[in-house]
Amino acid sequence: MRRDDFPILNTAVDGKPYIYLDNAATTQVPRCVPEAMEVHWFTCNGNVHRGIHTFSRQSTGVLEQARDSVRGFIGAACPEEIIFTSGTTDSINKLAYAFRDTLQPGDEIIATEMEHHSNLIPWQEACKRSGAVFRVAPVLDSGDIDLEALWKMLSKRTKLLAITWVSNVTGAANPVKQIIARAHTRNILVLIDAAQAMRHELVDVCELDCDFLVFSGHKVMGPTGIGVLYGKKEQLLSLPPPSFGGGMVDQVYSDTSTYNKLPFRFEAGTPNYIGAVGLARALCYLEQVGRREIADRENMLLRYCEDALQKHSEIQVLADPKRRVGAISFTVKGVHPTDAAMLLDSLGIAVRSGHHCAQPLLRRLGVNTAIRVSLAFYNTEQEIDKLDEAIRRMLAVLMGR
Amino acid sequence: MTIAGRQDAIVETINSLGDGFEQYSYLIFRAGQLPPMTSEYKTDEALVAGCQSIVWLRLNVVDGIMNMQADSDTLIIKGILAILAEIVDGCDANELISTPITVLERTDLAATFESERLTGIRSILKSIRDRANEG
Repeated sequence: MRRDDFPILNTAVDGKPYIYLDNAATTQVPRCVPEAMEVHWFTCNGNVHRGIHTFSRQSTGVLEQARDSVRGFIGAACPEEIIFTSGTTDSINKLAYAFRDTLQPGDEIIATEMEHHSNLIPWQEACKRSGAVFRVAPVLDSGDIDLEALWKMLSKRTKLLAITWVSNVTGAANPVKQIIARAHTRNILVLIDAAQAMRHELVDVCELDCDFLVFSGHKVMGPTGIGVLYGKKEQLLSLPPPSFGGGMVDQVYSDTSTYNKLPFRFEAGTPNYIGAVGLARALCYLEQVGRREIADRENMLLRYCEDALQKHSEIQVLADPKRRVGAISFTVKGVHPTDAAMLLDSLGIAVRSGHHCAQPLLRRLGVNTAIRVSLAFYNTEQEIDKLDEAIRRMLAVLMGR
Repeated sequence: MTIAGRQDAIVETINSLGDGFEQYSYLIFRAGQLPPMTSEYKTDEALVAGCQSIVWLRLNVVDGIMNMQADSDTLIIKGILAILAEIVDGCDANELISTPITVLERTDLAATFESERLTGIRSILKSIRDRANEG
């Protein structure tokens, strides 16, 4: 599917085709993305906002078009709700930093055992520094969130629930719409980490009714260094700016300052406008390919991959969630995932090994590290067949030692 | 055999193996030949800093002769340790001081380790050299 759009997929390593199955870490970039960035650099590059000259005005126009493209892609009500950041981690840190000042001792923030460290540590720290209580909702043996336990944790003291839509380790997809609705009955704000969900789910923030949603450009075929913090306008307006400097101010005096309107009050310093151009082009590309088609294909490939993995008796697939999308992790008894990943790499297959920045989840599932396979729509059944064959060879070496 | 001679033989073996998969397979085979390190020596002091994998390294010099015991939680690194032990264990410390260990650089292996793991391996090599210098 559209493989020709991705020059890197034709790149050989050691004279062999290289199979890229690490898409949960970063996705490959279609040619149109760097082309759009190059056009900007070569035809209208100028720093955005407040510039009188032509390049600055054009550059600003393109940045704001990009913002509106993102708004359209995620179904936000207005462009003011789209804050450009450097990525998901930066989005959550900005939000946590701003949120920290609104917390009182005794307030609670809830995350889950399933979170990437990026949606855990910022809240841990915000609570530590404000005197609020940080609570972590448990995960079941299946890898799903323990919803009953989560419902019991929601209270009038809970100010925010920070939860991932899709686990970056197991691919478990959470019923976020149900969770958001339940949290709202207690007036609890909800942040959705959509970093792993953007290609596999049809993200519509108004339909979800989430208060905040974050994602990275480089996991949706865009460039690195650009990401998005979506927030409902009234929620963003209620928060203090998380960082300060040029672009986010209105009036500055020696002793005090007033701040710009949304979204600029959350974008101190020169924004990554070239990155925003690339992100907007990537989202446009996904629309052209078809969001439903992408989700369906990636789901089909994951089923195919899971079936292949399950046929190896030596392999233990991590968790068995109700719905798994995008990624699947496994271990081999007695085998260090690093050895497995290095052998697979030497056979021309890129997978990831390690704790995947989700140590609490791995600990809950009884392992320290795991091997992860994560797919994108440009992967093929033939590539998964080659993974299957490579796993056979890897196991022969590792188990036959 | 001299340290240089041992290294030459190892380099020749590895370079004759062809692709990366065969080289890793060889290291995993060699890992199985590394004499076991007793658990009493697997102390925090024996852990090598800077390694992504867990690496225990115990070096002694007795009457000017090097003694090396090592282990790792990953087989490929354990295979590297087995190769280093073949070079270092039982050799004269003074000879080690005057003969650099270049076995990895002379094969494709160095290129296959990403920078953090290379840093760890360099850390092991430095420990060996430091111990030889201490005598």
